[in-house]
Amino acid sequence: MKNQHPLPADLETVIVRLYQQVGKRVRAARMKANVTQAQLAQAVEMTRSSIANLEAGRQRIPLHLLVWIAEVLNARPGDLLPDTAMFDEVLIMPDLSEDLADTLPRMRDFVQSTVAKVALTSRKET
Amino acid sequence: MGSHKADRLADNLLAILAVKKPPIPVEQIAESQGAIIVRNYFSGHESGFALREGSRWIIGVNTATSRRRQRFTIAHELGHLLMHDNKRLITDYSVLVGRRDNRSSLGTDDEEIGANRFAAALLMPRDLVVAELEKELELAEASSRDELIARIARTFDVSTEAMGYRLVNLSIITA
Repeated sequence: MKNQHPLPADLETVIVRLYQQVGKRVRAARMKANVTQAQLAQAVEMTRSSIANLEAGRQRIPLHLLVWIAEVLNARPGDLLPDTAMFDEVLIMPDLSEDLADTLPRMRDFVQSTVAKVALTSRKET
Repeated sequence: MGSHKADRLADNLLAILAVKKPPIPVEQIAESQGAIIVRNYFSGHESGFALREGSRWIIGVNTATSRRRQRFTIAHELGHLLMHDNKRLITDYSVLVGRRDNRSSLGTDDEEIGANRFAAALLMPRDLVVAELEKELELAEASSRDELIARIARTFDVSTEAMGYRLVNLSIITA
């Protein structure tokens, strides 16, 4: 069991990103198969808006649905899953003080609040 | 107009990714190059930034502007990341008045021109623009110049302003 990468402190951020990546992969597989959201929705007995939410990562896809969608799109379930490396790729909030030293305060706020949306403030060491 | 590094870079990307019709999927292109796009609403003229964090690239986009302008910002920042690797952070404003006072996080004029040129070439490739224009002229020969620009802008999902500049720069229309 691989254990050298402890989970980050803010697990929720990683989970949100994981579902977004799954959604992107579903969308890519659907487009590759030349299937519309409406067609996919019908095939797996869901509404088109659910498929749209799922592709945006807003709705968390249940495992059985992921396998079903893979079957409909003629893909492997694994194609729809993100790489486990995404847990290694978690971005820690970088120290930008030097780069932002002579930047106007508003731009500094903009850059920092934007980066904070994807970066974690710290990573729990075990 | 000679072939500039920015033009070649954009053309190569479009060829490698086999993009053959508008609108250009700029977000997917940026992500294919390893960039993470982060949107953030921030009222003001701060339009975006390009940040290198280790091997990672982050493109920050202010969503206070229109979606079409955001597409241009993404392309512009990708241009910085692909061409200007001397800086960790480059910040961009949509309106830059009296701020050209050597702030190190601002791109130089040359860098800004290069990034704009890359963005225009990526979002509005010459061949696709010409083909679209011919198609439009066939459909509606009598439409006004402004209508024509607006329609092509819509097809490429860019601002009318950006398409206007592009058509002038390609010597397709006169300013």
